[in-house]
Amino acid sequence: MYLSREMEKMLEGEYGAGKQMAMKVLVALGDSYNAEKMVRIKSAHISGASYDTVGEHGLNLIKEMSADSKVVVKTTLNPIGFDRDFTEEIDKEFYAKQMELLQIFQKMGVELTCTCTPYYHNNLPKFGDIVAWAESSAIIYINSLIGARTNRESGFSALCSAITGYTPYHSLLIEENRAPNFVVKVRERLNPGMLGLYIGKEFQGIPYMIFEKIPDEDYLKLMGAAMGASGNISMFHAEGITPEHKKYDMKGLESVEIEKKDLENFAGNKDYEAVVLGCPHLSGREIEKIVRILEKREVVKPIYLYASRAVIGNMKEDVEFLRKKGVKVLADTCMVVSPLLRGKYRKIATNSGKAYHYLRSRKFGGFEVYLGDMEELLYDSTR
Amino acid sequence: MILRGRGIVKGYAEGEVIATTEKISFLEGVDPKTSEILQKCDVEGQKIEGKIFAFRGGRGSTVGIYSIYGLKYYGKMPLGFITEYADDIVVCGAALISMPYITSIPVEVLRTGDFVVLNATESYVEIKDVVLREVVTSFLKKGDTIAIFRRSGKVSTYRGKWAGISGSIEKDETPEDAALREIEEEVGIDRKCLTLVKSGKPLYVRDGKTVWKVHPFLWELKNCGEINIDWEHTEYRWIKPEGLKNYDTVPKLYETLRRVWE
Repeated sequence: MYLSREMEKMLEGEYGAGKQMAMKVLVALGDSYNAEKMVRIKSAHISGASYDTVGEHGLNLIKEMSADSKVVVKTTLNPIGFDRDFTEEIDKEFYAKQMELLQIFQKMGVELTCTCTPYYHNNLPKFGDIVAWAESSAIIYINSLIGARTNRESGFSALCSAITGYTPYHSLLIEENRAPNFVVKVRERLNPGMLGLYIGKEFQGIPYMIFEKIPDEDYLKLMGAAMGASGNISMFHAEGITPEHKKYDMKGLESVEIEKKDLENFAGNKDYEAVVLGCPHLSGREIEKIVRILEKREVVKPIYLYASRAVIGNMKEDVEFLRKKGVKVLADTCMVVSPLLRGKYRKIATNSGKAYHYLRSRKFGGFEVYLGDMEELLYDSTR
Repeated sequence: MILRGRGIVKGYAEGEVIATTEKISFLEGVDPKTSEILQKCDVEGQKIEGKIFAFRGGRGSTVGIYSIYGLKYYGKMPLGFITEYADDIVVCGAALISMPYITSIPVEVLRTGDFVVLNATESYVEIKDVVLREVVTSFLKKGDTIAIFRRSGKVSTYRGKWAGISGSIEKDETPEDAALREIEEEVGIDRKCLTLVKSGKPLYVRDGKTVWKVHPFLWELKNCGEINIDWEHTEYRWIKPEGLKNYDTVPKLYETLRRVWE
C-alpha cells in the first residue's frame, strides 16, 4: 500500500505511541483488503462506548492511546448503558468505570453524544464525503440516504481513523462497489423492521428497493437498521428516494418481490408488558408523531422512548408533555445496551427490527418480543 | 512442507500450533485473562498463550478486538495467528499487539501439536516433519453416473479403498497433463475420447505426516474407448454421485467430487 511521508512518520512513532498504534492497525486493515492507498476522512463515529463491552483491558487500551493522541476530525460516540441524568439505580462501581471511560474519550476530543443517530445532531456528512463510521444502523443510513461513503468499521478501527485522519481505500468507498446486486419490489405497506430483517437474513450485497408507495426517512431508517442487524448489508438504494439510485444499470440483476406472507415468521403475541421505541434513536419527527397520538389519550402500559440528548434538548416542551403523561424518555442509552428492562419485564413490544433481533438473544435479556408498527403499539398501550 | 499465504502483520514465530477449522468469536470465545478457549469446539479448554493459534477466521462482535488486546494486557500472548480468511477483528487485533499474522492458509492441514514456523514477513508457513504430495484425481462421467475404482493390494497407499483415477504430478507436468496420463495408464482410455467438464479448486487432505494436495477433474467419456483397468485396480463401478457416500473410499473423496460436480 502506498503511504505518504506523513503516514510513514506516524508509523515510525514520530507523532507518539497512540498515532503509531492506530496507523499500524489501519495499514494491516488496508493490506488485508489489498487497498492501494489511504484517504482522508471528514468525520468518525465510534461504537463500543459502554464499559460493559470494552472491559477493563479495553479501557486501558483507549487510555494508553489517549496519553499522547487526540482525534483530528469531528468524532461522535455511540450510546452507553444508562442516561447520565438518571443514575440512582446504577451500580456504583460500574458508574465510576463508565464515567472514567467517557472522560478518556473526552480528553481525546471525542464528543460525548452517546447516540446511534449523530446525523440528527451535528455530525451529518455531506453527499460524497468519505468518513469512518462504526454502528451498523448509522453506516447504512449515511451510505444510503445521504450518499456519504463509509465502510463497515468496528468501533476500534473508527477510533484509529479519528486519531490519524485516514482510512484505507477499499470496498464501499469506491464508486463501482456501490452498485446494487439485486432488486426488491414491495407493493404493499410492510412493517419496516420485518422487511429489513428478512432481507438482511436472506440476501447478501446491496439491494435496489422499489416501493409502490414511497416511504419516509423514518421508515427507511428502521428498515436499514434491521438489515444491518440480521445480516451485514451496509447500503441500499431506493428508487426515486436515495441519492445514488440513478447511477447504475439494473440489467441482469436477480429480482424478488416481498409480500406480507414472507414475513409471517415475525408474527408475535400481543400480551406484552411494555413498549420500547427508539432503536435507532428517535428523530424529532417521530417524537412529534408520538405526541400527536398521545395528546388525547391516557397511558395504560409502560412506554419507553430513547433518543439522543441533542434531539431531546431541542424538543423540551414535547418531552415535558410526554413525561407528564407517564412516558419514560431517556437519553444516552437504549433498550438494548441498558440493563434497565432486564428482570423488570419478560415480554416487550417494539417497532424496531434491530431491537427485536438483539433483545431476543440471551446476551441482551432473552425477552419475548412483539414486533409491530409504532402507531399500533401506541394505540394498544393507551386509551 | 511449506504453504504460501498472505502476511498481514509482519514477523516471525515458531512453536507448537493449536488448530481448529472453526471460526472464533474473541469477545466470548477466548478469555483474555487466561488465554483459554471458551468457545464450544474441538480445541475448547486449550490455552493459546505461547502457542501459534490457527483457526478458520474471526466472527461475532467487533469488540473482540479488545479481547485480543487483553491477551497482551494480561501477559497471555500467543506467538502468532494463522487463518484461512482475514476479517477486521483478527486483523486489527493482531496489528494492535504487533503479533505475526498470516492468512489465506488452508487451516485444515494443520493439527494441534504440529511444530510450525510462521513467517509473516515472507508470507509462508512451514509445518515441520510433514510432507506435501501433489496429486490428481479424475472422475469419468457418462450421463448422470461416474466411474469409481477399487485400489488393488499392490499399490502403496489406501489398498482396497474406492477412489477416482489418481496419481502424482510429475516434475514439469501440469495437473491436467498428469490427469490425462494417469487415465491412459490406469484405465487405458485415450485423451481423444475425453472432454474436460470441469477442473476444481485443489483440496488439501491431511493424513498422518502426509498432506495430499488433490487437484480434482471431471471428464466426459465420449462414445469411444473402453475402460481397461491395470494392476492398480481390481474393479470399477458406474454409480450415481450421491451413492459415493455408501462406499469405503480414500479420505475426502466425496468432497473432492463436490468440487467438480454440483
